[in-house]
Amino acid sequence: MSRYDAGKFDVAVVGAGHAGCEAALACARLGLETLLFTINLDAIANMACNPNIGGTAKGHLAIEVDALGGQMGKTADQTLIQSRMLNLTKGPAVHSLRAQIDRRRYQEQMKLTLEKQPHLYLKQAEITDLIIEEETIKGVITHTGAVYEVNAAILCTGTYLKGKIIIGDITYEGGPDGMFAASALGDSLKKHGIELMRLKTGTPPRINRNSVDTAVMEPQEGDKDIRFFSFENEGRKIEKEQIPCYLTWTNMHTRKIIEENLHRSPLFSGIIEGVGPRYCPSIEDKIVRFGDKERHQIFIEPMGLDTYEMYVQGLSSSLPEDVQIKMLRSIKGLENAQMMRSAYAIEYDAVAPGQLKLTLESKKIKNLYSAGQINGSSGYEEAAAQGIMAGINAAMKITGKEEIVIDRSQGYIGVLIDDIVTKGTKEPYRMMTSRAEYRLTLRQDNADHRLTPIGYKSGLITKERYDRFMHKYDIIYREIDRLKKKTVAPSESLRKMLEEKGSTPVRTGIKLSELLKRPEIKIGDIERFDEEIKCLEGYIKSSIEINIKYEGYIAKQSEDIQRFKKRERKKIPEEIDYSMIKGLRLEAAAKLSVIRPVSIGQASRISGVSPADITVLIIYIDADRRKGK
Amino acid sequence: MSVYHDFTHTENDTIAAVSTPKGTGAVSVIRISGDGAFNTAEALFCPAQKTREIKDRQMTLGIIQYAGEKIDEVLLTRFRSPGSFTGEDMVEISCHGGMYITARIFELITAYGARAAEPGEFTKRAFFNGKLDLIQAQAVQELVAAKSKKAGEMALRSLKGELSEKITEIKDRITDELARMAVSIDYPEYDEAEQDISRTQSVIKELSYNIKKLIDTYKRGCLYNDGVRIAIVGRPNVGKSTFLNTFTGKNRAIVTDIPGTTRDTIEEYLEIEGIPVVLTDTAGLRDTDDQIEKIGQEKTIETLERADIILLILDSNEGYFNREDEILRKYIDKHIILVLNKTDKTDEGRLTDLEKEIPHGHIIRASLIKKEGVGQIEAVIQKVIEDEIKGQQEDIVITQQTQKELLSQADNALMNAYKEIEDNMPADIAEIEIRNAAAALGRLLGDEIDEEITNKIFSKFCLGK
Repeated sequence: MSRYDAGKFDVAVVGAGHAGCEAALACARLGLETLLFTINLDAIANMACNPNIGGTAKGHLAIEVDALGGQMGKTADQTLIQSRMLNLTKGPAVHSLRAQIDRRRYQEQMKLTLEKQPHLYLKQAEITDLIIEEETIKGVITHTGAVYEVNAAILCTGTYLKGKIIIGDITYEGGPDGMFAASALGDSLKKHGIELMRLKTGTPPRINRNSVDTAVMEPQEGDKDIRFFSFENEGRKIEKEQIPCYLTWTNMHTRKIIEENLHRSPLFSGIIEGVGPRYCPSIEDKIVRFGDKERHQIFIEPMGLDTYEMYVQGLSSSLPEDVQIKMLRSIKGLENAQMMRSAYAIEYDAVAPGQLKLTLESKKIKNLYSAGQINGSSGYEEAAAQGIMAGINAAMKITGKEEIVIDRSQGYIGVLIDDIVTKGTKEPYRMMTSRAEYRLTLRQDNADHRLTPIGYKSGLITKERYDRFMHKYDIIYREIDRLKKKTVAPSESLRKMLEEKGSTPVRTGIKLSELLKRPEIKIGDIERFDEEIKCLEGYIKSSIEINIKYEGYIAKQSEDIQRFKKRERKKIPEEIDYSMIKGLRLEAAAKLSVIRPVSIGQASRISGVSPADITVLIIYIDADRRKGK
Repeated sequence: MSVYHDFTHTENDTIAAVSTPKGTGAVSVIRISGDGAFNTAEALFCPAQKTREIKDRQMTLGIIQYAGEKIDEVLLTRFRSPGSFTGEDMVEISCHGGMYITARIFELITAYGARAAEPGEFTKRAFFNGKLDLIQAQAVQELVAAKSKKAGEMALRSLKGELSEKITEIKDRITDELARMAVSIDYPEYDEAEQDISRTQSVIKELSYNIKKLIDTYKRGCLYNDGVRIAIVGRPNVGKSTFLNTFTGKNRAIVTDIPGTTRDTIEEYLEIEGIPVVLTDTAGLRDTDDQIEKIGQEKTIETLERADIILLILDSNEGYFNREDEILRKYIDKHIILVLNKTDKTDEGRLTDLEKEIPHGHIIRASLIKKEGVGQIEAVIQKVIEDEIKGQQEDIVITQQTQKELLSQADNALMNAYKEIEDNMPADIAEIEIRNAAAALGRLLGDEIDEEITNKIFSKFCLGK
């Protein structure tokens, strides 16, 4: 194959999905000459599975990406067709924003954003090989022979790497949504000593709205007030027609169809080797594992405004196409369903655990980063979160600045990356609120408070936005302070309000903050006793309310966080030789040698490393340090 | 999520230990170390000379007291960080060497903000604060290294099979509940996710009760450490002090003919079958207006409550009264040895009548003044202790301070969660404490809680696209 010199750039991002877009935008916005490669320009930021962004824990991630100066939230806000805040009754830490997205418009808007971005060069090309010298990435080569010299590369290959589609007993090489797979790059990575693992995921069928009887299903409407992911749209009020989703159920007939055809499933016949995610089971898997359940929920979601295509959530399957059609038509409201795209399972290569640093850089090859499904995660938001971090860190590294690691107490992003890097994953990793130990601190409402200073420091957040952010918290802190000082006298209206809310009456005056601390009293209830609160924006009020109401709990968690931070600050020397440490169990030494944790805190989270091992390690490091003196 | 004990040295939390060997030496030394050492000690210590300030590195004479009760006269020395063995703020309390007194002071110290130190923890802290030289440091490293090899298994082994099963069962039910909560939070749109918080609340209540029952076994569990408490009780002048004196061969209690001489409780320590035994003589049982005696009566009740064995002595000439009957019924769960004393002065018919009247299976006839029946009583006590030892080997009991502490942590966390649900706090607030409870039990068992919850979410609930 003839090759040509295509020029010199700072960073090459391979893949323009949700990880790649954030990574490329971060690098370009930080002033680096950035290439973004995609096998097909029409597949940029494609939602290859469900047409929504956010939801539990994922909403947190999307908002955190925005707080750092990322793009996902802004583009989602631009293109949403339904907005819902989930879990409003379950406590402030788990309020989760989810939006149904116009899939096509999202892609167009993201592509336009990339195209308009200075320093960003968007290329339709498949990267087939990497140039690696002295264990450092030096360049990338396209399938057409272009050789780009770069200082860093970020791999965001999604499910493209050696992708294989499986529908019943039919299998073929392919990427998501009818795209080509990227096979050569997988071989190149192997050649350069990167160990790969095989993962599997899947997607349900798409059907034509014309053939769906939504009248017999339960509509799922959006919230009256549309809320947004991005800080830049906070408090914005818009009137927009929202499109409902619909809920229906499988039944005993569906079940019978599946049971009769189970032998044709590649999962049960052994064609599929990849490990699939437990949280995304196929319908046949659900039927087999939960045999006592008579029906399963199916959500019909619109794919956009300018299309009749609808997504059938709950019907992921790798059964043959003819079975899929029968199964669909057994469901109430889908009796005449016209399947437009069939469900499929996809197998792909990902980087096996233990090969990444917390900065998402490869341990083996310098300046080579990766983000998204290639790292073993699943989900658009998980991908975007890693994308922005890999982008920032690649930029920091090649400009000689300090790289940024968000820890578990600072964001879901930190939990996600630490889990993937330190614990490793054998199935595609999905973010869940239950994975975050400092959940009460990692709320959507304070994502900016936690991360915008970091975004500002890295250069992704503009001075103008940073000032607005500071102003927002000036107001919040001032108001909290004021509510703690302001006493409201006992009056007839106060007595009435308390009685209505089933709250204990007061005989003397009471501080507004004390009233607000009562679980049954909301900030809206005390507005009539304080003119100033009444004038505040809803999101500011809500932040004040959470901060006062849960003050004690938040303070308690902050003590836990201080302890956590102490352990994270206790660094392990990079050159440490675990085989030399007397008393470390072999299993622990082996795990530690692979993961090479940077801190005692990180070491303690590696499975198979016991508290006693940690003590041995601490003592060794301390004694070693003193010997050096 | 999990908080490792092994990290505590970086946190300077306050630890305490009795640093003299166990037993009944003349003096015991209790050491406290950590940020809160001064506060803890000073909350309990009252200098003999009120005006005298406690100075660093100088012994101060004073009293350890609690709720108005003077526990012991002690010498207290304060060492300010870094000029101490561990390099942290430290306090040393020298108290009288009685097992009971030492244990009581230690208990108060742990109630006032310190926790029981793990073995070697003082040395470990000294090491981390640079108070040991390199050779000593390496010795510590080797020690810990040797220990760590088996630490994991040992922690498990110390939990006997059945106990570990019991705790696992409780932990499993907590993680079930957590998985349920997690599903309800992470998959709100699924019908699987319906969560009934009042159900969670009642589960918490039940589990907290079960944990409390386990904690209660600790007293029995530490038989070897803390010993067996025997309370001697009876009406004035039935011969309680005589028994104590005869039994211990000492002459500590004052024996006179005036009723009510033994106004305060008197303790003697001995060892039977390798088990430390505390004998407590109580004030006589009777109604009184005498202020001092009233206090004595209250103490009697307290002593009875704490006792493992109650030795109830009757004067066979006087007979069996309501107070004695009350004790027999109230403490039916404890070992009660009933002694009919002064049989030398009573005729056989009366004795037989009395034995019929008293609803108690095992009655010993004695003439304590003539040392008759003492051997028999001793034999019964011995038998009870042997049974206790056997029982301990078979029963589900917790035997270690750490076990007790982690169980208490779990229980406290559950109680907090219970209250939060009661107060209508949202589920995710209560979840934090429930998770703390699971983490505490997980540490006790050496289990990874977080992974377990995630596994349960997907194995027990049908979710996902």
